[in-house]
Amino acid sequence: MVDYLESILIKRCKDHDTDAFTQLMTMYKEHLFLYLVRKCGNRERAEDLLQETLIKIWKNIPKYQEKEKFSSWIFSIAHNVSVDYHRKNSVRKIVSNFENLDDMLYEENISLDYERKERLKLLNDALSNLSELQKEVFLLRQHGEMTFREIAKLTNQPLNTVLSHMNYAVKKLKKLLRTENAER
Amino acid sequence: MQKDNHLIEEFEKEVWLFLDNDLPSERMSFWETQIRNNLVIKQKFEEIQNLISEYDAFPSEELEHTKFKAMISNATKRERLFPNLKSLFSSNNDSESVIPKIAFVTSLTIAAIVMLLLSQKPNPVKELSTELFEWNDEITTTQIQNISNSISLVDNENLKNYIMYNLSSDEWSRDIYSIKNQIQNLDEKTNQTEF
Repeated sequence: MVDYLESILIKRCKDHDTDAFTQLMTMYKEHLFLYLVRKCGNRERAEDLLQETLIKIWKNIPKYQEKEKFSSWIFSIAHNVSVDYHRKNSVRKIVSNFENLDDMLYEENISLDYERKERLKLLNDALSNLSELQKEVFLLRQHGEMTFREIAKLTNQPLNTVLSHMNYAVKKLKKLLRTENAER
Repeated sequence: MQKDNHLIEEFEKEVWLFLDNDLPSERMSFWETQIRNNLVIKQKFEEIQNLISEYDAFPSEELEHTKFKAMISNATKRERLFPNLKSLFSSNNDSESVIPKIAFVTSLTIAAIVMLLLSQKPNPVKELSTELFEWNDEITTTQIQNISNSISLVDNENLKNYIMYNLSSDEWSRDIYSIKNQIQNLDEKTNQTEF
């Protein structure tokens, strides 16, 4: 389940080796951060969630058992952190998701070039049109590289429901991205 | 046509498990054949793959390495203070973790008892009675001393004379008192001579 280098790094992390932890997390940094940014639609908040996720991974890594895929394990932590956050801040979430999401996401990235900004906005618009579960299934699959059985277990949904959400997500995204591209 | 629709529906249901390699081997072979030979299924499969590729081609969100290092540092520094203590309680293996936990709790209890026994904690009852005694003794002694001083002052004959001569406003009384004193003195001398 876990490759050799990863396995050694995990063992060192269990012995409180912070360098090993840095090395291990660097391997997942990009995917974790991208998952969180696209999940919450806000870069600054995604940084906070990533910080919380790293704290929990470090705290719980002694409990990690290698029969489980490590990437699935860390993405399940990131998922739980983001779910907790959204539960605690449900009012703010509604505002950010449906009113001024674009501004919140891109004000911070003023240095991005125009085309890149437009592309990210296009994707963000499309993702914000998915239901929470459709988005969650899609993002966990894409960034966490989790199997659908793992996603079903993590989200407490029957496997068929998860597969159905993935189908809807893909169909919606295809339609939205095509429409948006055509309009631009 | 109806057969194709049914096949497409089946494919949409199973394509994700197919991609996960999570179907029985004969079903995996079936879909592999369909994707190769059935144009509609092939097209569906390519649409999915194209969308995934399109999604992956979107620009990434980059996190500065310095910021990431700071996050790692924040995450790990909380645990650095008592890592051994932490690991003692975070072990998953019950048989391994019970003995050190019992030993740790026992040593804490023994240390607490020893500290309790060794500490010179004052007895509040004893302390209170001593304080009361010391307070009574001091106050009483002072008061007795004051009273004694006052009595000795009052009994002193010289004081009486002093008061009579210097503080009395009536000159006649003073003279009478003086004559009376002199007579008494003479009497005393006479008595002494007789012996």
